[in-house]
Amino acid sequence: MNEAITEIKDPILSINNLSISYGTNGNFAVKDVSVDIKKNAITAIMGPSGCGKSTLLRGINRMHELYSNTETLGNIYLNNDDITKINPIKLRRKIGMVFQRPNPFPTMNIYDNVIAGYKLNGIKIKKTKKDEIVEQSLKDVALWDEVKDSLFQRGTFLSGGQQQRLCIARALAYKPEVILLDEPTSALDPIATSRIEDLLVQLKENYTIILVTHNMSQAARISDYSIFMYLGELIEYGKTKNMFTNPVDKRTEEYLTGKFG
Amino acid sequence: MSIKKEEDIQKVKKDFEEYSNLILIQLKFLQKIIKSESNIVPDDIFKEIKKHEKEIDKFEVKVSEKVINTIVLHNPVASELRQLMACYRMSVNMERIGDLVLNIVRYIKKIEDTKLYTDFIDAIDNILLSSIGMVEKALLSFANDDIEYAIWTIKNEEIVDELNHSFIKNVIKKTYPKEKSQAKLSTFLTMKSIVSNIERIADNATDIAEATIYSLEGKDIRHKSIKKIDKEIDNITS
Repeated sequence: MNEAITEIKDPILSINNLSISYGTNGNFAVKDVSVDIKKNAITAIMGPSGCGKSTLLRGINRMHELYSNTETLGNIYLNNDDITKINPIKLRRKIGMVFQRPNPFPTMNIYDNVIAGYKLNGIKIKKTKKDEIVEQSLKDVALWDEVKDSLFQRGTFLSGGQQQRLCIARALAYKPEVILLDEPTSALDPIATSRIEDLLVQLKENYTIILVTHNMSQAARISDYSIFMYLGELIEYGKTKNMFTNPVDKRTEEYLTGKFG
Repeated sequence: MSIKKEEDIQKVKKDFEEYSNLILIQLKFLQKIIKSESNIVPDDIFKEIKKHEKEIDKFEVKVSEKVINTIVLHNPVASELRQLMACYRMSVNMERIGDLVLNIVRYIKKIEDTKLYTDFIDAIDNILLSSIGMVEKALLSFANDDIEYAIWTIKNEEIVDELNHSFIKNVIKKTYPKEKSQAKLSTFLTMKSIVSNIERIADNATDIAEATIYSLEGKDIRHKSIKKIDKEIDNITS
């Protein structure tokens, strides 16, 4: 085994020889990536711009298929189930996603934003159950006390950090097993960033979190495991504390010490 | 790479280099005093040693502060962090070496039975040479990223320990049960303290070498048995 890749027991996700290309020109944004993701941990994906981080993230819940002409090779297993054999909508319930820019649905109020996944997929649930889901999801992201008296106002009046927490609540409402976050704090101020980071650390008790970040300090602060990617390849994967003190691969060392990236 | 970070790291290394040179100068003075085979230490040399000792104390504080500031301001990671932490650790060892040199010189000045002292001066010089060699190689290993010198230093500690033991045994054989004059007894105890202090210089050299290995390889081999250290070293060099 490549000594730059850590072995994980009973992973929640197994990515095997995954390659993804946008288009049929043979240029792969993700090249032959194999990695196991630990359950109930935060895994950070780092690397310079264009290294394939976001493509890898999107590949995990098949969001990349929303682009035309994508080609995917290899397999991903969620709890030993091949994700290509799971209905993509169902898959995206199990693997929720939060994006860089907070994107609460502008025409919906806070309540409906949280429960949007059910509504948009035609899943009917009783009002009491909805209320329960909304309250619990907002409590989970420490937003309930701030918005409980304005649930039926539109979410767009909230601050950036609050909007992002609302988006995380929306993902949690579906009770996913995995939450994917693509640079979730890059558009937020330091205080809002800190609150989101604290939230993620709390959430990992019940969810598996995979986070793409450009911010190495963020990865160092909150992640348990780190993946370093470069030019579409997975270069190194291991415990964050080990990677940040003693990286195995020279390219990881050079990236972490700022020689490129 | 941040220019400011790079500059600050280089400043730490530059101060560390000056600090190392000062330690080596002190050890050279000590060697000169031992080689003179006299318990009389010229005033000018003693003054110089004391002056350098004050500078060494200042360097310890300066290097430690710069390391802390660099870490706080720049969040270094990987090899940069390990280098800085190694400098921090080694600056403590170097300050101790400085103290030990001054202690030894003070002990030499206290020698009462110069004949007894002269009888054993070669043995003392031998142990000192080995210890100085260890300090030089340990500091060079860090300056030049040379793991071989660090490994040599660590393995050489056993030899200095052995020389220390044999010295004690030989001095006892020679001085006991013959006439136990006050002067002889006092000199024996003083020489034992000199040699113990020299042996502690070697111990600090070993700590410096271990810090270098941590800096270069990311492996912390402190407080491990010789067997385990040998295994770690084999893993490093294979």
